[in-house]
Amino acid sequence: MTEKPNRPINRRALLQTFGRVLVVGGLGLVGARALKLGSGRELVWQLDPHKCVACGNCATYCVREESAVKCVHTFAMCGYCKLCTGYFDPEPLSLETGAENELCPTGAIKRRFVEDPYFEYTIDEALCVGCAKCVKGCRAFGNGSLYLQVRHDRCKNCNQCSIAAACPSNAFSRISADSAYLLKGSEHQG
Amino acid sequence: MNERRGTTNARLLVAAVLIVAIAAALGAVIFRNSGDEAGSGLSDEFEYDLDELRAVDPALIVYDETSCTAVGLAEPRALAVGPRGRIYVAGDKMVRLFDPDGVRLPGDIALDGAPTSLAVAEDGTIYLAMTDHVEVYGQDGTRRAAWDRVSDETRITSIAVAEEDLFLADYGHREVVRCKRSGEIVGPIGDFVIPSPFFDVAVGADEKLHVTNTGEHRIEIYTFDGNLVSWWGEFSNTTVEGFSGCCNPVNIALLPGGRGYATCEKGLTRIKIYDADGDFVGFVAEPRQFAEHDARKEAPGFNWDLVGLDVAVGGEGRIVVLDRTTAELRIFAPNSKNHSQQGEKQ
Repeated sequence: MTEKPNRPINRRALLQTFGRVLVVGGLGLVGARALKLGSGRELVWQLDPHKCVACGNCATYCVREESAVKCVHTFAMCGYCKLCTGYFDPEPLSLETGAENELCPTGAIKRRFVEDPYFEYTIDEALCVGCAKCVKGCRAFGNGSLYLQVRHDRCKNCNQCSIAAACPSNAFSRISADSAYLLKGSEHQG
Repeated sequence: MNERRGTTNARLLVAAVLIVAIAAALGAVIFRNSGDEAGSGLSDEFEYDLDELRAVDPALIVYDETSCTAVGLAEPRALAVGPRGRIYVAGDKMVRLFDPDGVRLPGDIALDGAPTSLAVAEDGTIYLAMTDHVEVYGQDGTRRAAWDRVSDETRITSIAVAEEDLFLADYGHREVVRCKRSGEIVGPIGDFVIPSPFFDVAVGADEKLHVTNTGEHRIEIYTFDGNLVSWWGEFSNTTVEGFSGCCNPVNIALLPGGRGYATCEKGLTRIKIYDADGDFVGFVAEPRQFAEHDARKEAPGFNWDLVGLDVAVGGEGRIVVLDRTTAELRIFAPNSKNHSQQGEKQ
């Protein structure tokens, strides 16, 4: 039961201990990463359309010159309205496809006649800048079938997404790459 | 002595540098631009602003709000006015009662499921839509019958009761279903354009059906046999006479004596009065009176099925409004600018 004498720690011993902790910790991190990749649970950035407030930040805060966030359309929720408030300006001159009547500043929404009085609206992603103006229009009067999503063919999956940092409603989170989109209308399908 | 002073100065310098660095780091965290206040930086071309459309000439507001009561339901769905002006509000799994002034009465009626609409007959019988079927309750709150499901896709958003018939607005099939008050289905009426889940039917003093065809921005009048008699209404976001947005009016109530209509709109949240010919009379409530409603619908996770107001006509020409979003019962009475009501009083 003799007590161990308190030996002074010299600089070399301290550095050795610190080095061991670093090596073990690093190996642990690498192992965890390998396990995660092995289980197919890589994480990607996505935005929850139910939290999105269509502020417009997605268009300007992405590190890419052309934002990786685009408008998407859930057709099952769409009313196929003749007067789509996501497509037409609030004060349209007429309900025709002239640029002067369109809400989208880049003309990224295409309107196609289906049958009277129904029209189909599709997004031309090459033109969409993710400004969410159509999202606001659709939500103001309609069903909210137009909304934003991070498109993973464009997203660089930065460690810290700069749009997520600027998102006022905290709509961004990392989700599994196995189900990389949060699509409206599929909430109850697992 | 000099050596020690030199060491002290070096320590002070290090401490000062550390303090400045910590202060800078704290400042960066506290005053970090989170983007919401600074805005997106997009030009005006990218703005979506309805404020100009929300502005209303005060001279056009012909009703004043007389009461506003919290209904105490998480998801109030429907409103009806029954005998003696008693107000019925259905929601959650119950029907809650209020007196004509909006004061809550005791005796909630508990239900097995969540109601989507209700109507109250002159004898006090309560007809409740439970998404795809109808349940019948007596004045005392006891269930008398539960009808068979209309169909798998049926989604009843409104019920109107006549002397011998019941009419169901079926959003699932975009048609009105005529039933006998015994529950027997007679058949469908009309083929409507209903883009969003708000579809209303009412029975008028003229023994006609008045149905909202929201995608066409009009109200259509049918015989009970399903023959279209007439229609009125048009789209306009810029003039008060028209119905705004993609699909309005979401709900209507018929004024006593066939004098006209009270109409509710979503998007530009407002309640208006039209005469029997469909000519605009004035506002019951204008968009700025629904600021709280509009703010709540912008909140993350908002339930869009609750966005449309419901409306009914109470005693003494009052308009009763159920704001499903704020869960409030609001009552409006004609004011001095309401010439149609003044004419009636004289």
